[in-house]
Amino acid sequence: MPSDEKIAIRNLSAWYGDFQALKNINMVIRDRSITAIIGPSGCGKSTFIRCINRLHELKRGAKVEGEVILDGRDVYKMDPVEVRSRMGMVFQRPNPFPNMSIYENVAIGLKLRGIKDKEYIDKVVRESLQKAALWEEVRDKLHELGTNLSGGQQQRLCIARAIATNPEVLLLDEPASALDPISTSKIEDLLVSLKKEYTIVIVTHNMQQAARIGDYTAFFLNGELIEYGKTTQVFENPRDRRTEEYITGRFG
Amino acid sequence: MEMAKTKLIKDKIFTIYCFISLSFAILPLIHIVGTTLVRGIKAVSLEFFISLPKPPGEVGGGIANAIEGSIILAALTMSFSIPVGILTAIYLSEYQDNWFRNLVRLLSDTFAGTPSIVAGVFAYSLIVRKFGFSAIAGAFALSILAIPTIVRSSEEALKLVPIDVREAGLSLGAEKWKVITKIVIRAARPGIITGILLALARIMGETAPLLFTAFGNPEFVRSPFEPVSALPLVIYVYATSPYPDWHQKAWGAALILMLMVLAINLAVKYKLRR
Ligand SMILES: Nc1ncnc2c1ncn2[C@@H]1O[C@H](COP(=O)(O)OP(=O)(O)OP(=O)(O)O)[C@@H](O)[C@H]1O
Ligand SMILES: [Mg+2]
Repeated sequence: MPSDEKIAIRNLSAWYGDFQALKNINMVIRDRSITAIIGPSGCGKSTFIRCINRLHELKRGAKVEGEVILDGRDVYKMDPVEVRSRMGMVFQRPNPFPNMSIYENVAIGLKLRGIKDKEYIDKVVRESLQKAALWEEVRDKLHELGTNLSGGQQQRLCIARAIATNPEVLLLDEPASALDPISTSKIEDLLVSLKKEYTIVIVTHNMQQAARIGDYTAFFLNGELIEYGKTTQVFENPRDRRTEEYITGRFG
Repeated sequence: MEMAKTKLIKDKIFTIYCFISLSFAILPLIHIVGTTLVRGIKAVSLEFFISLPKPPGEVGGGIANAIEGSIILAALTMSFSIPVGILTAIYLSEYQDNWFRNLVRLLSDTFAGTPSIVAGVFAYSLIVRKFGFSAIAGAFALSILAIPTIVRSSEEALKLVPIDVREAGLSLGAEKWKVITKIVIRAARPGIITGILLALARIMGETAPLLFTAFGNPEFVRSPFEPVSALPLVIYVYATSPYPDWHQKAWGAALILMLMVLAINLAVKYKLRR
């Protein structure tokens, strides 16, 4: 295995009650790259990334088998709080914390870790908002409610919140699905610039988006990983017929 | 054309009908508020607020002891009921289903329907019979009434906070209890505060449970272990006394109580609108 291996997924299966949503997934996610997860609705994309940061097991009746190895250690043998503190997550729907200002939304991750140094927090809040391409729009209203921002701004706020704690891995579940093209392209630019520092896994329904920003692409179908490789290979020269059908829109 | 006319008439009749019904509902209310205002205002003076009552039959004095007592009772009740109520609500809404949780919910729902006099009897047999009348005993009885209200509204408010918010908190690498106390409670705060204020408005006006717990006291109190007076108690005692001056004071106390409860309800309205 190349040394740029960040997360290795071994024989990962996941269930909701009796329903198996993921079937024996094996793949390696590379450090400082963007891995795009594509596949039809209900194929298990969200379940997959929620298994990586151990959110899946919180659902009622949920079960996980297999290993998710982060820098050589199985996250399922680690404290889930530690696992999640090393990974940031951005959800499909923007979910800024209610009754919290823009500033507090970004600062809360640090505060929950017991960091009190006001100057340091101020600096991190500003830098995170800058990285999330939101700073210019909110610098004069940091103390207004985060939930009062527009949908696209809220999603960028959630990205700022996720990167403020400086995680190693960023998991994004269709972060741009509810956004206009301008916000979407801002977020894409942001992700491309963030991959210098982070390992990014992004679920997307948008084929062009996967092709534009993904270094690697994984195609899921009915809980199985059908194809995984360099994005150029998956898109231009898919090995599996089903991948080709999905990518060219001739699916189902 | 004819059809339209009939419709218009039916509409008018309906409006008038509504208006008459409304009057039936609202006129007594206006009458009560009006009478309390007119009669109560005559009793109100500076002395009324700051001095203690004169011995029975003598004119003058005030109800400072009752105002103090009501504040002490409210403070004691709330400082006990708010943490207990919110923590119970957190337990009910944030943790897995099990038999103990169902028991807690059953208890809380049962208490929610408790007539206030029963809460008083309960406090009487549990506390007063051993330790005598006291503010603590009164606050205990009032807490039995306040806690279920706070539990219920807090639980509702917590349940309205989307799962997404909890997951986002956990995904930041925070422990569950920190996510609850720092993020989820915060999100549910308006609903929780509303519940607290409603509970407060309710206990401020309770009389029955205080009769045999807080009991009443013509003096200021120095500790929560002494019996205390309260506005509803003075209203009850003064209104049923044979002295005209006390009758007037009862109206005055009623006015103050009414204004306090009104203020709390306005606070709730304001909170809800935001
Ligand atoms: N809480 C749940 N209980 C039961 N089944 C669930 C639950 N959540 C998801 N599933 C099922 O698991 C499968 C995978 O769901 P998942 O959310 O991972 O799909 P997805 O690929 O993210 O879909 P989408 O693109 O629509 O978001 C689906 O068949 C779904 O019905
Ligand atoms: Mg999904």
